[in-house]
Amino acid sequence: MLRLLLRLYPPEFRERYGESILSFHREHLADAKRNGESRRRAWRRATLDLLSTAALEWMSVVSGRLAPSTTYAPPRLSAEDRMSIIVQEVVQSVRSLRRSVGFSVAAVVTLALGISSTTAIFSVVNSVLLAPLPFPAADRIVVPESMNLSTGQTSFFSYADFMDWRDNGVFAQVATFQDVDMDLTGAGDPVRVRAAAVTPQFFAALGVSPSAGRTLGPSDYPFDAPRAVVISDRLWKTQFGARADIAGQTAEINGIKRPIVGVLPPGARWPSGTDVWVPLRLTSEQDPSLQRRDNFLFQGVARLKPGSTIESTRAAMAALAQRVSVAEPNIRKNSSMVPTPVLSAMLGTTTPRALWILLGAVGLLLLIGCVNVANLQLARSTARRRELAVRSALGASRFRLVRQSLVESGVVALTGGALGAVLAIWMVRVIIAIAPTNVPRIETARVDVNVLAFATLISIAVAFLFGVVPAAHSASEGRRQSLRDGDGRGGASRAATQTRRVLVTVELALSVVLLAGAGLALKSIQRLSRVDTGFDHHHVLTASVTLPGIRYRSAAQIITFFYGLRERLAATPGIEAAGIVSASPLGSGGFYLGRSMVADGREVIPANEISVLWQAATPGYFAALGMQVLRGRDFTIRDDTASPPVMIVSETFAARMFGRENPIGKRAMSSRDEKVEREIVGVVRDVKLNGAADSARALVWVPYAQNNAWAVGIITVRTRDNPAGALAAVKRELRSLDGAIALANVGTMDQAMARSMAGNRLIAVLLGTFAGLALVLAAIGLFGVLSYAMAQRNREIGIRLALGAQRADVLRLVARETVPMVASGVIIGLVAALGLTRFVRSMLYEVQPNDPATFVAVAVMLAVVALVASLVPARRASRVDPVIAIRND
Amino acid sequence: MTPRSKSQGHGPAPETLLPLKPVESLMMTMLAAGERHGYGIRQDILEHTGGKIELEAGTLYRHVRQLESTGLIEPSSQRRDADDDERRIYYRLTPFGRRVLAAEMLRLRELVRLAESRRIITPARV
Repeated sequence: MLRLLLRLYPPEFRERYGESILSFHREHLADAKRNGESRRRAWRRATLDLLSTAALEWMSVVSGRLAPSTTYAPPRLSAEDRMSIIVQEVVQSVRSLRRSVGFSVAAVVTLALGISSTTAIFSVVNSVLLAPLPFPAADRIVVPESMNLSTGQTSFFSYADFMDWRDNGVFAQVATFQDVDMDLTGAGDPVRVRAAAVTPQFFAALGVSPSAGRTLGPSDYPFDAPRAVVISDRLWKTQFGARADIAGQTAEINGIKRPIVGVLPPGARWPSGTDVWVPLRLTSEQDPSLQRRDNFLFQGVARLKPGSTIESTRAAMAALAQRVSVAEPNIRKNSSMVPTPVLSAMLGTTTPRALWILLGAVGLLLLIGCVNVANLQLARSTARRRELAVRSALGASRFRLVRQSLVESGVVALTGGALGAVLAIWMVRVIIAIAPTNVPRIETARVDVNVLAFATLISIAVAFLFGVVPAAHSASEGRRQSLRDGDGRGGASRAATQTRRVLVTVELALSVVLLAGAGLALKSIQRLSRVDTGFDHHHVLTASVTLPGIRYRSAAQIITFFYGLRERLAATPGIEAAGIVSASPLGSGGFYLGRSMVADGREVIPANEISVLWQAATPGYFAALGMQVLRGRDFTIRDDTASPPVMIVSETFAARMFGRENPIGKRAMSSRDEKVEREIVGVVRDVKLNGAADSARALVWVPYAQNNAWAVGIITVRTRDNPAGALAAVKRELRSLDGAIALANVGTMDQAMARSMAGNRLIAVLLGTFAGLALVLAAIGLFGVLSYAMAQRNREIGIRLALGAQRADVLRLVARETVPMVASGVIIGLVAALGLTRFVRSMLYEVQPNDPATFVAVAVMLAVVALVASLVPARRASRVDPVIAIRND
Repeated sequence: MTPRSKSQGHGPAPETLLPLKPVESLMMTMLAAGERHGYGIRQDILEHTGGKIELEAGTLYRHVRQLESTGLIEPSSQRRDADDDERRIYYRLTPFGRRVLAAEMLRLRELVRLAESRRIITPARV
């Protein structure tokens, strides 16, 4: 074991001290045993020591401090002398780089591409994943959630759960809240803002203190107290002109004047995007609906108790949840409660994984860039052998030669890095522009000091990566090579050529990995865009409205408003169909109510229940969204409170509830809350509510007029032409009914569709770009090596041709050079890709991570590109004029 | 194999190698008492520092390499007991090394005297 680790040391050191180190360790172990010390500790210390000293030894070797080639001790230099030598070397490097403009430009551009991509992705990772939330000790803040133990899915919880945690002291502070949309009225057009109705400990749990005024206190909770609000910094600046005397002003929200008691500092918005915080006022905590364990309508935030950890808190929550499951097994089978760190709760699982994958991909690209530059450098150093030999002969030590080479790499890498950082600024802007809007904090991504430090670090690392191989080479060459290669054109050493072949193979293999990843991502986006979602997203405009309860108190008022608005819209020229629904697909507004239903005549027990998503709709909605009514009919205005209760269901609902029987005319009821038997009057084709990757669900629509008056509606209109053009008509009709209601979530279904695929598209686009760059770089690398190899064999080829070889023989010569590199590159790459693509599995849609078609396509593509890259050198070789080639030497 | 031990009488002036690294002067001080192998040096240091300084093999031999290459210590060919591990190499201080160590100690003594005169520590009663 230790003997194996010894191999990490530079050979010279190992030869000299390896055995001594082994016997040292043996003796140490024996002693440890004798003194009753832990052998594991001895091992751990020895291993750590070995690893660190091996690294240090290598650094000494590389920086040439050993300088064993000189037999005299070099004079010790003063600091100024050393500085001036370094300056001199940098100047020398710049000069030498300017002499070979082609090389320098190629190297700098290659590195700039790699470094900028890596830096750009890193800055996104940095601001989305790594930046702390703007709350004190944010790592102590958790989001309590309920978790389905069989699927691992998390969701909200019931108010009773919140009371459990609060009353049992599970957290230092715990608060629950509900998201609500509110219309800020008063001056100008009404504005829709996101609000949160919070319980008293909310601000303490987050640890925010107001930048002006105060947060909500106990006095704000009684029903007779003024309806106090706290507003966000953003709202303060955009709607209240950032006035200093904001506390004490009033805001008109949902038509009610409310005192503003405080402003939160910038960034401190939780849940994200919230602009207004109001007290969550409850008639009584004893209210039966709050005691229920199945209305998962509440979200929470909490701060861990001092001294307790996530783990201990998890245990405490699980114990309480366990008690509830025992008491109410029907409702709480298979579920528990968990604390999720606030940052992970905000980020979810997909975003971090996607970002790490992208960072890995750009890392590969950067590596390819390094390999390419190393290759160029190697070719150049071979060409410069004579210069090195002369310098060596004039007394330059090996150390000086290596250092010179490294300084050159450093100059190239830092130039590339500087250019890369500038490019990265631009790339980050592009990424933000095309990124899905649901990636939290993405808008904060920018190239800041951390990112610049990162760019500098990787530039230095890169300089080492691509500098060390050629440097070591030039050193050994410089030492070994005499001046006898009279014309300095002699062939490169076998070792150098071999190294270059290996480098190109590595490059090809790395590009195969990237190509495979990109191929899979592209294939899934292609599959995704071909999926039938069950509705027609072209020519549809949606916008949501919420009717303020203060002015729309009765069900009749709400229904009159919605049905009236729909009638007016449907009659508008240019609008083909109009409808209003309580929840619109692709996250374009509203929310689905989860309910359980039982078919008429069956016993109400969990086994007979099926879970459905419940929505309310007006007549015309299905036509507006382009959904197909397969059987039965759409709602009419006669489906109201006076007529028998009806519903329209999705195919999946019908199949789950009634199998193959015709569902029309059959009845079912929401078994736990509404408890009204409803007759099925229509069946619509399945729709994928969350976009192409979603699966079909059991859906239920009931007429607005029969649904206990929901005040939220998503206006859905189908237009003949550009749907955005219908917005004016929607606004006009809305204003003619009520001038104080804001339109929110305005957008076309096409946009919503694009948004639902934006994540997949972003990954596909970025991976595709990186893979394309990688392929180009690999092709350039191959081209370089082949051209060089052929140029070196010019004379040999000339002789062969003179002796009667055919052009075909020459081409075979090129093939013999190319095929092994390409073949091994492809094979190694495919094997590596097989191992790595599993990490993208969760990002794929209906494509296996080892999709054979993609892998074959990648192999073919690389082979073709390799062929193209080798064409020019091959042609050049076959056109060698024997006379010139032989005479030239 | 004769290691390259630089200049044993006509090398650079001892002062040019000062100051020594604390660990290195510690190692040399141990060797001043007689030849030792690597593990012996470690044990010696462990004992004299009350268990505070515990060198591991890699670190120790890096310093050995450094001291050897500057000619301060050298391997000795003698002192192999019959039962001794034959791979063991004993090291000893070179005369040059002894001079450098002495110079280092004089430097330290000056430093200690300075500290005493500035009342950082009370003068030792010898």
